[in-house]
Amino acid sequence: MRSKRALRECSVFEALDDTELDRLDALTTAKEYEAGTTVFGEGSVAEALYVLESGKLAIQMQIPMSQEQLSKKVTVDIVSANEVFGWSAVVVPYRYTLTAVCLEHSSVLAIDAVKLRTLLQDDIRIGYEVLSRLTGVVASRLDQTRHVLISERLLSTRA
Amino acid sequence: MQSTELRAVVASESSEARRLLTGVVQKEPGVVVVGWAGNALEATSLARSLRPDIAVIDAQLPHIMGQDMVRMSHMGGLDAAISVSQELPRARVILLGNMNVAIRQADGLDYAIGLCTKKNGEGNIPVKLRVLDGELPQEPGLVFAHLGVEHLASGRRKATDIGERAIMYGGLTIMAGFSLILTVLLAPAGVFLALAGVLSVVLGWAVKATAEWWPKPSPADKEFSGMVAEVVKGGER
Repeated sequence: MRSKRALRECSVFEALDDTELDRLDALTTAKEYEAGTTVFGEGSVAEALYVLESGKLAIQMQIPMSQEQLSKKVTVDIVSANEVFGWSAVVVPYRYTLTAVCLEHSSVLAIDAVKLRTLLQDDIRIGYEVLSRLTGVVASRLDQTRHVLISERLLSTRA
Repeated sequence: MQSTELRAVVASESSEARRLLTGVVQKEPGVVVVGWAGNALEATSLARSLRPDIAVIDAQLPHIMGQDMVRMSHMGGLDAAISVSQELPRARVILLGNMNVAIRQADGLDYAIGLCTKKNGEGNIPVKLRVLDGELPQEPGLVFAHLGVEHLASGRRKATDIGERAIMYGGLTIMAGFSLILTVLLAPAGVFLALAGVLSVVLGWAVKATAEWWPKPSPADKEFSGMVAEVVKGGER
């Protein structure tokens, strides 16, 4: 099955065996988005954790800036194929902290947030393996956000 | 629909990409590129000062400094596009999602390249800048597009193929000629074959070299036809 293959190729789920992937696959819906579509907006309820099968997305954050500055939204990361996004689906208060916009036509797998949280609580092994890797994604995104915002944007304000 | 010239600005980090984009944009009659930007801040300030009708922006645009200077740069394309479309609501802003990939794909002799959109993820639907400009302003005036790359069966490719074949068969003929010479009895025929092989190799090399040295038009200058996608049911699958 295509969605199961895509889940296996995603590093967050790499430690799961076939049976565990089947359980995860049952919570998954395949979706397609045209370029320019917003998959989710900052502050909205996190209804799914997403895996990007193909395409490219920009992760943007809203920042308060003056009129002379570039934009009130700044791209802090680009998501490529086989990467996870929308990690807020498993972290309280279950609201997206950033906005995801498709730069190209994108195929994604949406894993239902409520059912995923139930699965992670019910099966401790799946919970540990998925959450430990997801923490790495969160840390990496925070690092990139910090890096982009502090270095480049700070320098640009002096330009 | 106005008949006046449309003014465009293009933004991409590399000069090669800007040259290619300029060719692609100016291929449409009545469209002229009036400004070039190498990063997102340049693009917005250029758009602010020139107030173009069209802005074509590479999505992998550095915010200001480039990847060599700042890790995780090349994320400024969407920011610049949103900013320009907000500041110039009548302008058509085209964000290109695959600039680098398209340049790599078209890095050959026989390709044409053009601005396209997809329909439900399929096809290369050519973007006509004048048609975009003629549309009523939409909110936002931002078009997510890509560069379509088409392979062309050109005379140059045919000439190169013929030259390579002539060299290969010439080499085989030379070997066959030498084999006959070794038999002594058929040596005259062998000499004839070997000479014919040498001639074939020389001619083949000359044809191949001419094809390679012939002036190479940019992929942007070649006619791009595009393929209209069949409209299929969209949304979730």
